[in-house]
Amino acid sequence: MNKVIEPQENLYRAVKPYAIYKKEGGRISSALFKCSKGVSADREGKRTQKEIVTDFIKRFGEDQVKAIAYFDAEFCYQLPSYLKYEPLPENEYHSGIYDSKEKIELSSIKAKKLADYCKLISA
Amino acid sequence: MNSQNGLTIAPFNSSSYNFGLNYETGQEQFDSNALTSEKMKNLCIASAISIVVFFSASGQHFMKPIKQNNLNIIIEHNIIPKTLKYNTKELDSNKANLNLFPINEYLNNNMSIIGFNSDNNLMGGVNTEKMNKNVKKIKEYASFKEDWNGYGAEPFSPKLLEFSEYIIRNLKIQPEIFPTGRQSIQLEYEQDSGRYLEFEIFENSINMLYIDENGNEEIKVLENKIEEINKVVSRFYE
Repeated sequence: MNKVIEPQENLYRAVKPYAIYKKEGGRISSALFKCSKGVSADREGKRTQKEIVTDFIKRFGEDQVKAIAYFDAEFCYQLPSYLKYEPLPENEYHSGIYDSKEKIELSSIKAKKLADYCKLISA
Repeated sequence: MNSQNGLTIAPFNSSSYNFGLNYETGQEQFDSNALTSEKMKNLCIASAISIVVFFSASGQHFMKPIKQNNLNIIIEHNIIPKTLKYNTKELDSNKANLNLFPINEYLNNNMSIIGFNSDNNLMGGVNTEKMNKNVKKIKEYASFKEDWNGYGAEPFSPKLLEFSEYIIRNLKIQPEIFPTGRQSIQLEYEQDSGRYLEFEIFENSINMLYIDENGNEEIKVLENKIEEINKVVSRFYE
């Protein structure tokens, strides 16, 4: 897989636990994108959405994956945030989204923009 | 249970219907079996009541946040003359002086209230549903184990949870709350216009993010904690 995540490639993150991140209006909270180790997401990696959902379900279990948030890498680059492909032995699509090369955690405003922008897939 | 403009008012008990203050005269009206002012005050404290609501016969509703010794309690004799309720100009000038706010903007927030019905009698009532829900959520967060979000998030510290619960219990308007994966609890307020207000509670600090309807942002670290949050939230709904 290309080490560079191209702008048109989508990134996916399980909304887990969904009930906890779902807002009253149906959107998700930006709290989903606030992580001390950076935001983990899976790059598309030439898979279909159906395959991606199946992979998430395999990893977390069907009852644990109610929704998956996704967004294009271009939006992350424009935030701006720092995207890095970081494959793991158990997940070759794993990538990290960081505030910048120097700062791990996304700022509140960047997390909010990402939450407003992302789309949701019901799993 | 009674409902006015979407706000549910549950009587404290049957005798509470017999207790009241006439908002024109300011005189107490209660019989021998009724709650006394002192009892009502204690009930307010016990129920974390934060807002006193005056229901006028004309259907206009106003409320007055009241604070005393860091607790929000009712003041019995601070009754607004009826004439001010019907005169918009006078009301506007009195808003500043009396710290009054239109209630309609707050109706969806399930706040704690004491209400006067259209007969000028204090119905008595609390609606702490949303606060209780939020407190319950925080208690649930305490049970989160390592990797609770599937992405390596750590359990929350008791100190953070206690601090968050304290904040929630002292908020005049309840937010939506969410846990983050960075040892913080997030409080959110949002309006249809796009205005957004967020407080991220950490163990030792609170970060505020405000976005106006044009997308302009303001970021701030709050120093005075609960007092400042309540002030900012009130301003958000003005």
